[in-house]
Amino acid sequence: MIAFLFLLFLPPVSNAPDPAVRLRQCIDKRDRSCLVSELTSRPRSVSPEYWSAAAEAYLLLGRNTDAVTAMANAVRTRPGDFEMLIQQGRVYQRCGDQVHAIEAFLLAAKINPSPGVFYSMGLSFFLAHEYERAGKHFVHAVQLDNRNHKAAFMLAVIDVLKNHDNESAKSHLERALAVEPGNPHYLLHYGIVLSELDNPQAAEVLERAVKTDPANPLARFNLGRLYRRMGEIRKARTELETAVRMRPQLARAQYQLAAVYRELGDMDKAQQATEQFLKFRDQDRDDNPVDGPPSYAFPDQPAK
Amino acid sequence: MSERTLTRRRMLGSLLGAPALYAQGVASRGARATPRSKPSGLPFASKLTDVAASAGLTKAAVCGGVARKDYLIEVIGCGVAFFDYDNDGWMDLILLSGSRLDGSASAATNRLYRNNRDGTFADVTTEAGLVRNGWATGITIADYNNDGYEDIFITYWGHNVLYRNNGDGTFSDVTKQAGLAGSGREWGSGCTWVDYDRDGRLDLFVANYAGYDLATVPKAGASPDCNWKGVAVNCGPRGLPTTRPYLYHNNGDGTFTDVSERSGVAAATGSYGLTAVTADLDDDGWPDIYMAGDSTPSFFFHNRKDGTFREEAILRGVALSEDGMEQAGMGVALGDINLEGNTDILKTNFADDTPDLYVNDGKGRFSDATLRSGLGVETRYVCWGTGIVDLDNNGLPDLFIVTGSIYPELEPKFPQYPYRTPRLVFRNLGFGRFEELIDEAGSGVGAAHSSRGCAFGDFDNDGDLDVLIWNMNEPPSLLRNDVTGGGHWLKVRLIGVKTNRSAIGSRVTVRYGDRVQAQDVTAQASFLSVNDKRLHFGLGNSTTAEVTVRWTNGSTERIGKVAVDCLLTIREGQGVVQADRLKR
Repeated sequence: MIAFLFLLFLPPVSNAPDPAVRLRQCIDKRDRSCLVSELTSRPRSVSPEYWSAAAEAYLLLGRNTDAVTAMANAVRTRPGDFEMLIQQGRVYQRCGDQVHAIEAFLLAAKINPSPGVFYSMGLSFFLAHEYERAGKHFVHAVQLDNRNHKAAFMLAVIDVLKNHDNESAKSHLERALAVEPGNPHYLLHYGIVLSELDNPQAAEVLERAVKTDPANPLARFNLGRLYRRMGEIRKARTELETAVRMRPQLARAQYQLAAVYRELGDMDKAQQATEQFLKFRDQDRDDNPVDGPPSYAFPDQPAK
Repeated sequence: MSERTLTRRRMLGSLLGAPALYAQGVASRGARATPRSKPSGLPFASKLTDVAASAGLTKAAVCGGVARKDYLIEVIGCGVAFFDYDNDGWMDLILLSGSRLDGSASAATNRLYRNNRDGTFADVTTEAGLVRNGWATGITIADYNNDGYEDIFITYWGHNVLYRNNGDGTFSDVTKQAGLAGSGREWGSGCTWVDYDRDGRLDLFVANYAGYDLATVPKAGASPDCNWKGVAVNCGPRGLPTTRPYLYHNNGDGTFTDVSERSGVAAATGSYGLTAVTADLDDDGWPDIYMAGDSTPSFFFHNRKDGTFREEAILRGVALSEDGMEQAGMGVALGDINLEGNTDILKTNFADDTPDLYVNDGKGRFSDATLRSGLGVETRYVCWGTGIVDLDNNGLPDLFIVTGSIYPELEPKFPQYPYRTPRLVFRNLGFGRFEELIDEAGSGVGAAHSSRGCAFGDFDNDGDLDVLIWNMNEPPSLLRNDVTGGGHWLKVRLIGVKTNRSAIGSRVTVRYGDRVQAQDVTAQASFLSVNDKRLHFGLGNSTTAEVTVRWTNGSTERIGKVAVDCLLTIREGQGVVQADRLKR
């Protein structure tokens, strides 16, 4: 009898998947209406996994405050959980609140001082323009796991940005590429650094970067720019024309293309490219955040 | 200090040599030096030694505070000039002067030094009538009234000044009569005499650096434009109001008419103009004007042969860096670096940047040869006065650059950015490649100063090029060039008859051995300075040379074969009228 009564109070068995799973499916599909629908029909009792998925969904919808609240609920319902703390840190990080992100990562590090935690902390320091501290955390991540290619890559970025040390950047990028030889970001940056070092392998590396990611106008631009420096004007024209076809507002490529046309004696086309350069110049300033945050700074999977 | 949002573009931009992480008032691209090639090991036959003190040039220039510069007006400094004001065949000197904002430099003045022809100079400023206190910036010298004596125009923060050479060792201030004083509200900078309409009379182009009013200029550190590397420094030029250049037409009666609007020059706004040079850069027979822009695009005014100009610097590839970035353009040198008979341009820029070497295809279309020529190895210094000059007489023009920081406050925090820095020599290795020399070029090159203007000329008439340098709040440097190796040389002095008497804008082409080299007669170059108008060609082993002159009015005069190791005076239409062996 008691067993019967107990069965009466059990929730009905449903064929529908768990709400957190359904939300994850919407996230995977990047389906905005699906996300909104799932978030609106939130179940009365929800799991930390649901809150965590909701936080990610809110981020995709650009609702940062809701994302932070959802993630706080997740951590509250499962305090001291490493995965949740890492996830919370990443949500803060993506919302631009590096102070709280670092706090969450520190709590996570107390539970499990993994290379991924140090990488994530390094990234938050980096985004907070604390490059020295960022570098220390990336170094620590690499020391704990010498295959941590993301930390190696970020060390290369710091070398170029802050330390003005292309040689050191080169060695970090080589370390990252040893783990992920086909990573188009790493290849592109490696090629750029080699170009700056006048390294004869630069063209070969940038050609590989273009082959790996042929739709990336920045790879085309950098290869075209290098060809121009090398005096390979016709090859430069091909790459730069492709770059501006992909992204006409890439003013720097328009400028290079104008120079290439000028060197080829085609002043009409030089004039046209110059006009495009002038048209898009203000949109292609380095301080214009038209590209949004660097995608490689935010890997899809939580760091462990 | 405000920092900008980090973006992928920004990260990539930085990898590409985009501006540094900090906001700042001056454009430097954050360019990293390229690796140096193996030293050639070749001896350099020129040794430059500072003989200023023994030459009597002991009075310090004055320009703002010594240990601290609260305002930009204190840091830009001044030009210098080599010229022969008394027509005795020996180069005299002018050194411009700034002042001090606290009023403690009421005796500071521009100085004229007469060449005593024995390696020394006499200060004749007072007797020449050139005493003037104020913030002088740039100078251009030429015979604007075609009376046979070189006249002086000086730009100021405030009213500019025209001195007419009276021919008796004195000058008269004729600014007011000439109508060249300017508004007084602008900070005059680059200036050059130019016969833009080829009527045989020199007109005047005047660049302005900024609208500058101490009452409204923000204090150091007050905005992102008043920071450098995160240290509060004097503000600008970014954030200061830009002005525009002026063009004055010479009426031939001692007066000038402002034709800035009519000529199209006034339409070129939005630049902090500095050094201005004139030459026929597209080889169409008409003089063009190039003006370095500080932290803004530089301007190329193409002469349309009808009294008007069109600004075409971006189209012609001389406005920006190789990557289309604005740079802090300071000084400009003209010369033929690859011996193709065309006029190339060397422009100096700020620290964390390279100079620009723009190679002319002969039609005024330029390609940026900075990196392939080897100039990318040096990015440490703020670069100012410069010249494309054959220092060792080997027949290949070298590059000379003076340097100096503008922030004395910076050095205590960033030792890698010293205030006083050495001069730079890039020796021409041929085939468009250069090699940087500092100590190898003599003690005068390695000596550290915060220099600005410099001029090139042969003050001791010994057949080489010496260098006069303006040093911030210090006496000048006079680098005497001692050349060994027996390289031959030729100097050419032009006297215009139909064309303007100073022959400003004329071009001399010299063929020697299997080489050809072009040089232009200029009235301003380097940084706001004036070079010896006797064009100097190193000839290497060649014992003969062929000379061709294209006068400013477009007419060509073939001189044919000439003897070397001498100064040729060529009068328009009469060929060589004098050949002096000088003292060698």
